[in-house]
Amino acid sequence: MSNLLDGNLTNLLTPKEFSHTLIITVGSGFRADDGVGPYIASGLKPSSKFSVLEGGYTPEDIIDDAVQLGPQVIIFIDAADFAGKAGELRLIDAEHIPQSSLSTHSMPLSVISRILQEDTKAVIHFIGIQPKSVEHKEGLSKEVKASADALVKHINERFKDA
Amino acid sequence: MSKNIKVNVEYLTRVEGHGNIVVNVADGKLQECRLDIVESPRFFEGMLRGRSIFEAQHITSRICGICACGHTLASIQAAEDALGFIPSEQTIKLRKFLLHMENLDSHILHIYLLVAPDLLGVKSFVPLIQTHNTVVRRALRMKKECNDVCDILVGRHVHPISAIVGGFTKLPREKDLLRMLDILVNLRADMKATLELAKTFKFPQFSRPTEYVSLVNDQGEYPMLSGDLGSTDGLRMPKKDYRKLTNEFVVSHSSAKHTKASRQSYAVGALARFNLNYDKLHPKAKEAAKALGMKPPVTNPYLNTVAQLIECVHSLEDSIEILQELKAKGVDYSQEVVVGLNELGTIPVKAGTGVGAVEVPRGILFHEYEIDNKGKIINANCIIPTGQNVNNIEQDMKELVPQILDKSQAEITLLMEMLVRAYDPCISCSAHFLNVKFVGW
Repeated sequence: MSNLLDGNLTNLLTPKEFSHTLIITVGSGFRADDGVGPYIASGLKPSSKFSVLEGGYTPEDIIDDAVQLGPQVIIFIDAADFAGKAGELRLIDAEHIPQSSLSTHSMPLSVISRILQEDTKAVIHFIGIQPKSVEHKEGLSKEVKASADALVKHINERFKDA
Repeated sequence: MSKNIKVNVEYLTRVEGHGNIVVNVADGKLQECRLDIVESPRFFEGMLRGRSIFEAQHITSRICGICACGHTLASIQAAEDALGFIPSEQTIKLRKFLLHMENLDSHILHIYLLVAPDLLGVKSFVPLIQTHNTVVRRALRMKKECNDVCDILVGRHVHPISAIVGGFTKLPREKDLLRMLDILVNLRADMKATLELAKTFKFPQFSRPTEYVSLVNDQGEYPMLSGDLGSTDGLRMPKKDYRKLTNEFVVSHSSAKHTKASRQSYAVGALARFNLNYDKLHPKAKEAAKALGMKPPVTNPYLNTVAQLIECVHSLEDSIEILQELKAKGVDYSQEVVVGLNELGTIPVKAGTGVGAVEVPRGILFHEYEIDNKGKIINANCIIPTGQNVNNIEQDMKELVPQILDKSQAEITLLMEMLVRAYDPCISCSAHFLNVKFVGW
């Protein structure tokens, strides 16, 4: 795990006193490694220190639920192509989240995070996982699944109730 | 007037897909005015060839992420027409309900996310997060509620699973009916607030006599899934003759074909349906129309957004009535179908041709399939609403520009963008077909 998480990620994934963290996963299980978000959500065991919402392919639909949880920290987890090695994790700056055009057909993650920031005043982070494939098929690649399992284990251990 | 204006909006925002507006005025005279459609063709008709008619709806659903239910229903209707299968009354009711949810979802997103920023004086939806937070949250809540109902009814937020040729593979249980009713009855409060907000909107003044086209029927209901093709110029024909209405043709600046009927262009969509079928709207939708000052005929294309809002009220109230009726009468679960690819021969197959004509959020959608005696698709044709509107948008632009030459270039650009957005174009869906001739093959 030490190779998987750099200092910034380790620090982010350490519970802070008087702070509740909300993890929002994003992605589609029908697009190979894009399903890593939902896969991680299914393995996380929420505690008093953190909650999980699975946003799937319509993350805008969980905004109300997220606001009601009143988190101080929000972490989005999604597959992200940053030309890294398959399964590599990276903390992604907000300005690097694609500002794709808003339409009736899609709401960019950047807009969703702006709404959440406005309504919760939470600090928002994005963890990207480099996919190997986002083709139309089910199931994660070996590399991405290994990283996802390690990340789930790390979060469950760090954020578990005493 | 010796004004020179050049407008070149190379990436029109707040529409789906890529389109460019080109306007050139020299010495006060309009030289050029175009809406370029620069999307690549999608080749869905090619993908359908050789596939089973029983899987067509799952393929064509992917044409559009917002009109997935509409494409599914047009596809099913065309397939059943080709096979000679007549769906039950219960099936038709549930399909209409599904279409209502999609129209409501799409209209709400268009009104709030794409049109409202112009009318509330901001450049995009994002600043509204700070200035009109209640409005933003309401829009997203209404969208989610429509999505949730779709999920309960057909198994997914988008790309329905249980709606197939022959009916539904899973029919809603009583708890599902109650849940959906609860969601929709609660939605009324947000709809009321939306109407109040819309009363404050000031739309640009512009009018152009236009031929409007939609489904029409002689029965009592606002036509969404059934009826003939009709126009405000008096055209009336059965849906199988749709090509005589659309008269598609190719222009060099658009990868979407243009269409025309009785005159140079025609319009489809909420305003067309409103103009042709106002009498059949739900009484509460008529009340909303009155409150918003809308009475047919309306020939201001900017008011398509208001027609969409009136349809939202209609869809919501009609959906609640459908659910209440199903709850009172009970759902006939013996109608649940297991068809798959029709391996069991549940539905008799024969060679034939069928047409589906369905009113989806942006207007009338056509699917036509020719199948062989094993149910394999030989030919397919899909004509999407935006493809039918593109020519009309251009004609509007040509009429509008000379009327607004006294305005600044920035104001002209904004009015042109707002005009295109009023039609709620789905440009990536419209560029679905292009004749490609390979030389030397």
